[in-house]
Amino acid sequence: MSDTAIETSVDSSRALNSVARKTKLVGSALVGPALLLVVAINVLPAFYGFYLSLRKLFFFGDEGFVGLDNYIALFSDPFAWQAIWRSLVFTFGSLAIAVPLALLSAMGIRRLGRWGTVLLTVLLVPWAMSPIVVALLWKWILVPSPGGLVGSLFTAFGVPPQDLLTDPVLAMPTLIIIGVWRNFAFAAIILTGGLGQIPRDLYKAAAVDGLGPVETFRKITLPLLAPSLLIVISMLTISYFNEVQTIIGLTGGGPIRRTTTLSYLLYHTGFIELDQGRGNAIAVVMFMINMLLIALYIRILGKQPGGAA
Amino acid sequence: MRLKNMDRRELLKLGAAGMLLPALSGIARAQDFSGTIRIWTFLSPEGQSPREVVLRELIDKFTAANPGVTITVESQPFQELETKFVAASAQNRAPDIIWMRDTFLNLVNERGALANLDEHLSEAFRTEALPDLYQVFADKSVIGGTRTSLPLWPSPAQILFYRKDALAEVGLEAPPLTWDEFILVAAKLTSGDRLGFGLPTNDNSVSAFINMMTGFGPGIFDAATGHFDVTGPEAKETAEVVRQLVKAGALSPTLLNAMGDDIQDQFAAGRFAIVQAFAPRFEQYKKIAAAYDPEQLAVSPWPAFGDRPPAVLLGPYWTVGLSAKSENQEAATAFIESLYTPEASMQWAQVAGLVPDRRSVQSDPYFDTPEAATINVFDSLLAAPGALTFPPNLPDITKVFPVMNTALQELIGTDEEIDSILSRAKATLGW
Amino acid sequence: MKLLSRTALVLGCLLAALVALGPIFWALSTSLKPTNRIFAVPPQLIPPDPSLEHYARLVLEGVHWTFLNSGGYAFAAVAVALILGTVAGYALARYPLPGKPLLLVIFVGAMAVPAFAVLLPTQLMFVDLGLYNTYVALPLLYAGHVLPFAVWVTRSHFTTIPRELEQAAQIDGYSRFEAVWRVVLPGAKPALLAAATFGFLHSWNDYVTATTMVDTPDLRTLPVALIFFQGFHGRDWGALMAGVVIATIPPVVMFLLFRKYLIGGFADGSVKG
Repeated sequence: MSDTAIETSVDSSRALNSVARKTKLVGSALVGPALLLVVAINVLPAFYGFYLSLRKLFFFGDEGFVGLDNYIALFSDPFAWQAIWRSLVFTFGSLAIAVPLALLSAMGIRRLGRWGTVLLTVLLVPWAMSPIVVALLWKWILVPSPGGLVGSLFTAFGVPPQDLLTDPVLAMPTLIIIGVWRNFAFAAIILTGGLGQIPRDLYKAAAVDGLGPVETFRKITLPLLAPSLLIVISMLTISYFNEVQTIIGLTGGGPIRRTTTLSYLLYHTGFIELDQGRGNAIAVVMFMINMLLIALYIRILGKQPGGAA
Repeated sequence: MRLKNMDRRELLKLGAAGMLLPALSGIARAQDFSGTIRIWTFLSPEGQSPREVVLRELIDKFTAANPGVTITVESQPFQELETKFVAASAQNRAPDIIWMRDTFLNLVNERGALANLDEHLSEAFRTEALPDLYQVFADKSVIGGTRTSLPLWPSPAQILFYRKDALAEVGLEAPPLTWDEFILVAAKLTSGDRLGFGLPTNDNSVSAFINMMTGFGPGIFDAATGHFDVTGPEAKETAEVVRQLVKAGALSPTLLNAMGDDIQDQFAAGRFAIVQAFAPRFEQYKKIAAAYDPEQLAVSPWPAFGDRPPAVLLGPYWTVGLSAKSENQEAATAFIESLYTPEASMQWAQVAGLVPDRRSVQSDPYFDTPEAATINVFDSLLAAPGALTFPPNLPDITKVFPVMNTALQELIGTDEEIDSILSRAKATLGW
Repeated sequence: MKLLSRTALVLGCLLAALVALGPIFWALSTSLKPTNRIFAVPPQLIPPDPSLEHYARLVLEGVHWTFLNSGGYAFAAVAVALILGTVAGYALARYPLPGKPLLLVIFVGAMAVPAFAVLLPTQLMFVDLGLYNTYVALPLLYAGHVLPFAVWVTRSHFTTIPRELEQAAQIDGYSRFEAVWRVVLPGAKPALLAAATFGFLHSWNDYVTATTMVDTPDLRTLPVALIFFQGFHGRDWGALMAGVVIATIPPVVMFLLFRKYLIGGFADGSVKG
């Protein structure tokens, strides 16, 4: 009798093993196609781009392996550092405006209940537009003529219409405002959700305790909203850092390179100067920075209670 | 009727030269063409602008004479034509016919993308049409013995457009042709919303700075290397002129990002009295003129330095090439040739206001009419003593224009020392 | 929060709405004005003599085909991304897979690769595979871009649904697939619609990939076609604004249809609990 017992247990463990294997196979088959497509479209080209960055490539002519020359040339070029700086200015300038704006909108939306959702939908319309379409639209709005929308505002104040996009000082702020216009509602959605997570009772308790609006905000809203805020900041940072289509459409990196961010430098080097070796090097640098940002984002998410990681 | 006369005259000429039989067999050969011809150009097959209308007519005419042939035009953004073509050629999917700017001929040719037209052009074309083209442009397309392309729409390329009504305000019929006087006049023309002078400062295909520098004559380009001295005395003096234009109020210190299209737009809205523009766009400028009477639009060469002749830089301009990888080279070449017949040249002239490619066509009475006045002005500019082309070996062509444009923007928009701006430009180019 | 008084709130919201929608309405207004009135001073919001000439011009130049192309590519991309993504997200949530942490890193890391930075290598790859300038090129690419997000969002959702739910259905006699289809998937609707909307927007709105991967006019997308209206004719603002309007309509319609899920979906997908 003990023999059969051992046999059965050996059989059943073998059966378990085969079930386990089958499960793994099924699982792999389910994930396989998606994995394949993602790797083919996103990962492979990135590696290929890295390979190309180690070569001297100009106007589709491959002139051979040059090791890290493209990177060395890139980092010895003061324009590249300027571009990195401009990326920082653009990103953090946009964040500084978009986040508070999104927060204010989120608070307002919550107060408005049903109308709030309507407002949110309205505010999301810019986000739904193609960046190149946004560029065309704003180019028209900012056209420096009394017949243009912004131009007429200038003339209403008795000033000849300024070309905001060609002014070396005003071009970057103008781009930032347009970028925020396009994006901030998306952040508002997330913050609205985050605000909704804060139990109403806390506010009631605060009111009972006699806390004023500012204190309530500082002591209750902000800390509990922190997870959503961090998510919003991470997502927006990645989005602004990679922004390029509006710059191409509106300022072409100018005037005097004042709006040449790292992403625009990539476009200029790779597609206008056609120095494709160096262009790919810039691309690799951008991947690295993006991966860093995403890694940070995941860590932040992972740390939150019930985080999606 | 006139055209038929010319046909007969041409045939007579050919007969006299004893070339009648081969020419006739050339015409008979035309019926044998078949297959597809793909053309990449910035013109659109459904476009309504004068040049697009003429192209369509020429295509219709060719396909009517050669029913076995289908021609497809695939338009591309004009700044991307050369790069898309080279990529396509490397990947064996190039179109048969390509429109290119002359400044890119060297690069495109180095990539082995262009066929040697001399091996495909018909005998008739080589003896009749080639010598009849403007040699200054035709010769430039010959690189290392290979005829890489044929020039199209000969014109003084980047030239000055101005409004006669504006100039009349200061008692002039045309802008002055020396920089000293030009600066003063342009400054006077700035009034109200209008600026005296407008330059494209961010267009990757042109450099206003180089255009101005050509006021020193063709000697600014080194014959051997094609370089020009970015920090030399001519460049410095040109930079000085720019600074003076800004100081005098002729150029706006904040209009730093304009492309050729922006300038065109704003000129139509009355923002400038004088601008740098691409000559073949003359008819389009007139078409979109909104703030002034289009008849007031006129053309002028650039001022020059000292007592040199007014500067006329012939370039960049458009050329038409045949793909080395084309599978229908015979039909494609025949179509290219059809763009250069005397009839076609008349169409380019009458409908699109362009200087006819075939010089002999200019004996047509049309060119004595007032309608053809602008064409005659262009033509005289082409023959002017100050006319010069970009050297074919101008290096770093993809960097020269953006770098010089940035330098121009710095000259206009900042107070930085001229020497430092120019040396930085030179360093960036690596010259 | 009594930070904002009622009037300030309403005013603020009206201002926000104005700023968000104003530009589009200005574009609409411009697109309906005849060319010679577009630069009229002072600018008028309601065109006094509306004209459909710019829209007619768009049709004349074949822009409506690019509209259909864009739509087709977007739907195909979303379909592929949703199907593959849901399946993969489910697998990642339920199955013990070899090297799962690595898989997760790949899916998330893929989102770090900005599409325009890999344009050149991608183009070379596609040409070698014979996929360049084909009808499948763009849907494939867009699906690849959207897939990581779809996987992430569905996986997040599936991890919150207790296994017991499917197991109970299986005990009732349903196969695993049916169990998922009937019991688990319906609850994933917000996540799926969020992914679908995001995917549609990404595909419909893309410019850089579309202009590099496709050469011929019959395969072109709408954003690429619009660029041609800033050609050598000068800028045709009327036609450009008409183009802006028609390029904006489908995404906005998607919003209006799915806003509930989208707003919910994004909020849920990011902040659980």
